[in-house]
Amino acid sequence: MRKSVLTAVVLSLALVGNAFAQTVTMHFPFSNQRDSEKVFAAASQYVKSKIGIDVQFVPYDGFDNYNQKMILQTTAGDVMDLLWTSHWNFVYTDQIAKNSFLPLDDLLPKYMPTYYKYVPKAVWDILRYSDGKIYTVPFMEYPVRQNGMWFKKDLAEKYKLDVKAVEKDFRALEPWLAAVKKGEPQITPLAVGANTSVSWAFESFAPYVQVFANSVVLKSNPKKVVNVWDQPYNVEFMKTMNKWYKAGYVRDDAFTVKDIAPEVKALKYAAGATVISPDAEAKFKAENGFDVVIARFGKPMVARDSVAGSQFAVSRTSKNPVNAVKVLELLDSDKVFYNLLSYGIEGTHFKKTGANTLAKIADSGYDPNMTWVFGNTHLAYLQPGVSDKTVSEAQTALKNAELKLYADFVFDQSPIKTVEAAWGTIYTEIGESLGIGIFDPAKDLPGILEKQKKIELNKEIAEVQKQLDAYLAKKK
Amino acid sequence: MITNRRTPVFLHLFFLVLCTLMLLPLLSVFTISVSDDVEIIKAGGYSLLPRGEWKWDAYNLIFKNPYQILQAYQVTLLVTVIGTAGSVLLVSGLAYTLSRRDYRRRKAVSFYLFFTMLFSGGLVPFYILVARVLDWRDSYFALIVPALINVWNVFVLRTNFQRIPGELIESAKMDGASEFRILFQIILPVATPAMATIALFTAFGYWNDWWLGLLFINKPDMNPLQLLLKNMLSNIEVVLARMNDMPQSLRAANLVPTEAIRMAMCLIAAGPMLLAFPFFQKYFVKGLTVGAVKG
Repeated sequence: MRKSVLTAVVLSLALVGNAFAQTVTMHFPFSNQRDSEKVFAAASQYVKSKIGIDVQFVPYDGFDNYNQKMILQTTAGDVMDLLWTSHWNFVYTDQIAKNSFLPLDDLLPKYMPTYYKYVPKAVWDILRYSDGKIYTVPFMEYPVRQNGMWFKKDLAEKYKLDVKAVEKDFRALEPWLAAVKKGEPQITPLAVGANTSVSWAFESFAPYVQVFANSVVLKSNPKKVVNVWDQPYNVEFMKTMNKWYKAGYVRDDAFTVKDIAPEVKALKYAAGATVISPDAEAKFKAENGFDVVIARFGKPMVARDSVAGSQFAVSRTSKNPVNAVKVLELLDSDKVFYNLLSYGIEGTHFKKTGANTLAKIADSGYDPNMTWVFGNTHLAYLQPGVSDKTVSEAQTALKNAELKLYADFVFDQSPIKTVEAAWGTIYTEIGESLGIGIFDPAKDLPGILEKQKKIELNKEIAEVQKQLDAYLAKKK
Repeated sequence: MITNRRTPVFLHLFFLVLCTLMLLPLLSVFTISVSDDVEIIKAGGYSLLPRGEWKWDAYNLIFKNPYQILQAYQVTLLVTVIGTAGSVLLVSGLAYTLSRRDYRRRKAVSFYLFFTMLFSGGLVPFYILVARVLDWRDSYFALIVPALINVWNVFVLRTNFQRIPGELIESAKMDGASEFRILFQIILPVATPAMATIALFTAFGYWNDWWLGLLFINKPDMNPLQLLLKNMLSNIEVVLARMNDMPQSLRAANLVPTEAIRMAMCLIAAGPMLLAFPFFQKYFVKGLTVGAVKG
């Protein structure tokens, strides 16, 4: 009697264990919802009925929470299958360097045929790691990136802003800034805070091909790596930012402003930096409540930032990578599955208002507002107010966009870790003052260059050169 | 002696000022929680008292869907009560044993405890032990057990117990009391102030802990209160700092709650401990000298 009970227990344990090994676990950052469990159960059931694989959804509340937990769990070697990753949170290049992910080159064409074809080859190439392998499956949204600036429309007209001239050279902005400063004492010309600078928007004016940490490749000589800090353009640029700061175009206590969004809404600023999206003017108005004129800098580029923002990778500890990739294929090509995760259960959490449109049901218990976490946003049913051209626009933009030179070159920092760490501490001290413009190159730059010498930053430049040479040799 | 009358005035003034300094931030937090972000900025900055009408929008919003907070409250309360009770029991038992000079392995055990105070296995082994070997992920064990024994508290209590005359124990023994009876009916009542202090600290520790939750809890229903708060705040930081790197639809999604909501959450999470404190105060004053010079 006792023996049979024992056998039964062992048997059922074995069965449970077996079932568990078949289950694909999917880990992603989320914003917890009352009905999460209901929706995930329905999603699991759907996947099971479609491809016969059990999926267990493991949401993590919040990005920082996700990042910390995942770093620990990958380090400890927990058994997991699909892991969400990106270039800004739970950074995928770090994890590849740590050997946390499996290379997917062989699996993708075989088990993810639809989505593998849907994502253009250029995007796959950009995501290749320095060893030439693909480790992550990107999301699809608006895959090109262009920076720009917004200007309050009434002020732009009143003080006669020449947008065309600004698009050619951002320094043409200066007279307008001065006029606003003089004419509108209540308003600060530039929206700059601790985390929000405007200088990044001007990067397309720089004569650089690409910047890697502190090393830069100039357009005039695209095979030579030099230090970005003492480039004449950079020094001149820092001078301009410093001049603007001293002239009062930026709040002098800007570094105390941690979150600038409410101030922008309260009409405290005349202009600011922004990332350009299709119908940027309308979007900005919907978000902030006032009319703007938008200046677009440079050309739309396919860059790593615009496709690496949300991705999935397969954990090195996965027991069944093939099934994991199959689940991803379904997620990125099946409208029902994708919208189930994004918007919840039809009828309970949203109503379909057309073949491809929906209306959310208020307070329904599931509204994470994170469609992009799950991958191919081109599958999403459109919410009211979203143009039905969004998807086709994204596809055209991708076709017409230019690929940055060296877009698929990845600088591997691991050989010079100590240099980068030492530089990190120096940079923390000056990062904010650079963004705001407090940094005065005439006074502060020599000290920084001196410190760079002390920590042997030239090792970094040499390392980038070495890796770039190897990359170029391979390309030929 | 003349100064005797003046000293209290000075002292009282000093502590009044100190009290105000400590209460002002709380008042400010409350004020922000009942104001409107954009209004604050339009009016030119924060003020100590709410300007204009009080707006309970933030509280309404939180309590309209209070499930998460209530659940978190339940978890934290349970962990705090069970954890504190268990911890006080274990710590006092351990401290009492170590305080007895007739315990043969006193030194060895003391050293063992002391050693863990200085050196630990490190984060990853700790995680592997709890999460994988013991498999305590998403369970109350993970929130309670790792913090049960606080070595520092053990040593503080031991010193305190050693102050109690050995004759007391001896006479109890002669009357036929067992070791447990001695501990619970003789030693602990004598050491009430010390026990209350330790209990308060432990309760604070459990109430404020988010670290264990961060490591081992992932089920939304099991989030302790402070982890909920911490997640919200650190999430805001990440969102703000990496705004320009994020997918475009995220930027439009308004993921950053208003300042008012953040402050309301702070008050809701901190409230109960603010209320609990005065109850312990009676003992707390005496307890502060615990482990100080022997009298």
